[in-house]
Amino acid sequence: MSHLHLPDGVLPWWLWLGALAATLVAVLAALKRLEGRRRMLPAVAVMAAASLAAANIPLGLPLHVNLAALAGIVLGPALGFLAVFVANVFNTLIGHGGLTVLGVNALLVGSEALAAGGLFRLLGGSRRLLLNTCLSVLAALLLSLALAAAVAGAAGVELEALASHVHNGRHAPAGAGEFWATFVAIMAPLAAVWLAVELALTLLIVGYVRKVRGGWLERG
Amino acid sequence: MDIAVLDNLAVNHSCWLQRCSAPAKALFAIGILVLLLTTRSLPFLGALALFLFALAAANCLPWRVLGSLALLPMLFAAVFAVSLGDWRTGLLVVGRAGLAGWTAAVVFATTPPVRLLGLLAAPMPPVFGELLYFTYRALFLLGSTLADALTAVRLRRGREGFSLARLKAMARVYGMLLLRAWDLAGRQYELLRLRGLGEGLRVSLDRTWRRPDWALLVMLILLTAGWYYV
Repeated sequence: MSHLHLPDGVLPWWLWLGALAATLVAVLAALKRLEGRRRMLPAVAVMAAASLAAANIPLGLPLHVNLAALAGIVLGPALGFLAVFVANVFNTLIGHGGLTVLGVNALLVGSEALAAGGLFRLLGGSRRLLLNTCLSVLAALLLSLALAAAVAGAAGVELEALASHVHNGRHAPAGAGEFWATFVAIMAPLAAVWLAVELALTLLIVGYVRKVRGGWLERG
Repeated sequence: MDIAVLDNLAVNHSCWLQRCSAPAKALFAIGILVLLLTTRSLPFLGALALFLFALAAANCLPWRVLGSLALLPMLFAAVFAVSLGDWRTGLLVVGRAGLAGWTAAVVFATTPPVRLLGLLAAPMPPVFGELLYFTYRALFLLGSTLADALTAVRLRRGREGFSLARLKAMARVYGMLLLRAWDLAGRQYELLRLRGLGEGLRVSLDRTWRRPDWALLVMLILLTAGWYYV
């Protein structure tokens, strides 16, 4: 759920540092794969750029899509994750999403590419294109939402500790549970709309691409 | 976010920060980030904000561009702040996010992309540099096509709110964009390969330490001293 665009300073150090290390390992593995398949380099770059451009498509709603799941379906899980990471690097460079949380943001959005790409192939790929796309994208978006909710929980614990420090221990902590409940209450309606729009848009794009260039997704 | 505006600033804007080397600016940005993440003092955060705004003003950087880029992290930090329900900590969280975003935007707007991408790619395998460079090119390929397509859609459909019909139209725009960019990228990549990309050509890394870099370093040391004493 890239719309979270996690900023710097809300997550505990062990979480963002661990996520950076995990992302680095995943990216190096994906780059090794890309080394052996150089002809895929422009495809990965285009998907990364398309993911950034998708944010500029006006939907008439106060949110945007990232189409990371589509990147996973088109490029496969590893290269899809790489495309998402590169898109996140550019987002970080312009201040959209923090530098320290690059790993967490990449893992949250990259999980969509990993899950959708993996599940799409597991279900038989483009044999039943729309059904397989629908199932794999839905599962990927739900997984990403669950991970985002868990990260928000960790942020709650960190921010409660910060509040206690700011008030020199005189702050009566509301509890991470209360933080999480308020956070979910704010984000849940947006997340529900985002999930529906991202799923619908991915299906419509896949349908359009199949109509104008049949076989492209199979080749991709 | 209009990447062309930022690219134009990064390449053509003439200012003192522009003359600093990319590694010095990266070091400065990391230093600011460390100060932001470790401070719990609102007065220090306020002073740091004033310093960063003054730095942008002294370099004649457009406030509207930087401000719009820093606004998004502040918006998301505000969600965390509201959930926390403590205004003092909330202000600290929003301030940290906004100033981190502002600093990143200042560095991006004053560093030619090739230098910045070269710095990022330096510790990674060479293919990563190529990927960053090519993604940056693809952003412009897609950007102009997307702008044209959206103008055509607006002229044809007029202004409209959210609807399934609009979603369908946007899906067609995106699908067309994706296929066109895919075709163009393949040809462009072949062209760049002929020019040497991927054959030992690394995205260049600027390693020279220039005179303005010392000024950045001194500023960072002074800010660190302020952080220590507040």
